[in-house]
Amino acid sequence: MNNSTIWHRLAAIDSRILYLALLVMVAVPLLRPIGLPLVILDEVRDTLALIASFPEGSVVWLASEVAATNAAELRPMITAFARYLVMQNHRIIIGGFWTDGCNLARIWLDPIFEEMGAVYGVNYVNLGYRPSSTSVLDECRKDIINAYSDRDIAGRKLSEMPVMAGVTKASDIDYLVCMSPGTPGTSTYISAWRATGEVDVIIDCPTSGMYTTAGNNYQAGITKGLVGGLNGSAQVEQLIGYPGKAIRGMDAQGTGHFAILLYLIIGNIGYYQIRRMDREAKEHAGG
Amino acid sequence: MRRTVPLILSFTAGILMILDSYFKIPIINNFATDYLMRSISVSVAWAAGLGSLNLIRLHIRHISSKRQNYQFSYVLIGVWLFMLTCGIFLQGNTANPFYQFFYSNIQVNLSAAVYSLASFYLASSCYRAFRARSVESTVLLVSAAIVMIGSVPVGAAIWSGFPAIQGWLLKIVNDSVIRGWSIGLTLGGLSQSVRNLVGIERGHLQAGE
Amino acid sequence: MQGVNVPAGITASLQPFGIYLGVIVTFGVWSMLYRENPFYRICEFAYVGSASAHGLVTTFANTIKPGVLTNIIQNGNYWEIIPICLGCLIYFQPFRTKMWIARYPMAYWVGYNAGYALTMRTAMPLLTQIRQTMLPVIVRTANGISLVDSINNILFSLFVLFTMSYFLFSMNVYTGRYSFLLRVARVIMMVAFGAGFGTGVGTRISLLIGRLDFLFSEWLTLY
Repeated sequence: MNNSTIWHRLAAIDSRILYLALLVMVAVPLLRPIGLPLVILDEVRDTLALIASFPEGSVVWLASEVAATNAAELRPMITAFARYLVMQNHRIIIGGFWTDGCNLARIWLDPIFEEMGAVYGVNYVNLGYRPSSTSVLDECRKDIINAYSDRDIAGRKLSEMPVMAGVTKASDIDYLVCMSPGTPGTSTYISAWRATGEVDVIIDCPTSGMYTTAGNNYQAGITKGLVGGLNGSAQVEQLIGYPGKAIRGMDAQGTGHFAILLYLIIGNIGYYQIRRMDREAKEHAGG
Repeated sequence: MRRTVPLILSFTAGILMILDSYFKIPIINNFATDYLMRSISVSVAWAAGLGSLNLIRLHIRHISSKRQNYQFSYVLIGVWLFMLTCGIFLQGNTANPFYQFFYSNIQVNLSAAVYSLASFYLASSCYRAFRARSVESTVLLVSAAIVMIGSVPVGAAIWSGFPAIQGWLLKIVNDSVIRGWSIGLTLGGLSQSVRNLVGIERGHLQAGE
Repeated sequence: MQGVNVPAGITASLQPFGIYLGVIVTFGVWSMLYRENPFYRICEFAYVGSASAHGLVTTFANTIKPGVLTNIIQNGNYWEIIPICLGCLIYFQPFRTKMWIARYPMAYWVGYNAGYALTMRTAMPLLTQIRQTMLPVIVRTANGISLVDSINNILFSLFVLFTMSYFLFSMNVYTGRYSFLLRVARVIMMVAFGAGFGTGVGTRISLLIGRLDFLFSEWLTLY
């Protein structure tokens, strides 16, 4: 059997070469973006229109269910939404049940709020992390301030903040924008607040990986908005006129996908070529 | 005492939740919100250290028995102690700039870097392991390829039909399959909850058996 | 409970090194791609230690501390000491002879969540999903009947039925001449698996983009 054909050599290629090739294919368009036009999905357009339909001063719960592990997708997403919510002059309550969620929201969003002139305690507040999402959200149905022990992420009194004026329970929240990389995530809020009739409008912002399951709730009308993954973040950035990390990353995302496709195709062709050669060699030996 | 009391505790908590949800009985509704839910939030928060303490116990055991690579356990315990001390004793806790410095530069970057390894391993596994050996696996591969191409601008630049096909695959085929699973999973979850509530399922009560 | 204060000068003098720390740990983790090495191991163990401590610290700072200071000391909700004690019983779990005590909080949480699942919180999404599966067979629009939407609706409902019946283990619906339906159901699910894989690739590639973006924009300031 001839083990020195190109297919055998390709099959035995060092994994590090594959890693390097992927790295280069993703890095180059990140440094030199081609700037291909984005396809804006109707669901993204509808989601932004839905937010805009709420009057000024509406109360939005921005669920910062993010972690450093999904920051690449959800940081541009939450950043773009935070900008848009400030532009709409809505009152933003940031909450989260991922250990990193509210802390990362503070690091990422505070500079943006400052840049846009939003004032902490007046236009937005960060409630901080709580374990046990289901029971805390259930408590919020009766009394948000008590559920959070009247303290925000930095230990300041919630009851004295103008942003919380008139917001005593979950039903005082007009709509919810939820970053959702898994559980706790949109499904948690659906069970706690949507199913119990507290909040009717939930906007789901899953990672690409969760996008396939998020579509189910969107189709059923349980969630009213859907913006998914880096692609969705890029569309929001473009629609609100603040191009950022997501738009820049979309070309790299494209070449990354093509690199994976290329690996799949070459790997499969090689597999069938080698199998064919093995079969032929066996027939020769047998015949 | 060891088994009956937990079962009574479990049943009482569950039945209170159900009564609170389906009946408007002020005494039960108020008790559920003011005491039951609050007690869950509080007790879960105070139990949150179990995993962390078990981890440290495990690594102390690694060091004491000098297992392979035990030296790295010193790093783990050292970093754990440092972050814990800073976070608990510094003014403002997690909001303290000193804590934030280590959190945002080490913890966040380590976390993102560790998970970014997945992209490399994914590439390698696609090259070496993902084979179209049957009709089903070929269908899976083709579907994946269309979704990958259709979700990026370069796909639309090649052929404007890619995003449309991708949209159809996601909205009609994928959503319907997920719907089927979701209904099945929910029904399964409901039956599991009933089994837990009435004490047929006791897997969580096996500790110390 | 004011806590110790680190002089602002120390924190400020550390700031310029922040980016380099991030770069070092990124390359430390990526060094694993070349081969197994102690640098990677240090990063790996540091990550586990730091993540574990951060979880504890965040819970302490955002939940335990305000809970004790505000709810118990300030508002006088002394009854909250009972769930605190209940929660602390879980720490008997590592002790073999006293492990059974840890069953008490566990049973309480499981009971609560079982009750939680048996309410409208589960029923509403389930019923809504079932209702939204029964889509109109003929879709009428302002311009007449929409053939594409009608076919899509029929397919959607059929695919849901196929998928669900695939998992009917108590009775075999795919026997005899209907056995081809089993294959159809499997192919449909493979399309969904493929879609899931395709979107999953997007997430993984994004993780790499995120790291490269950090290196290029924050460290090398190339853009």
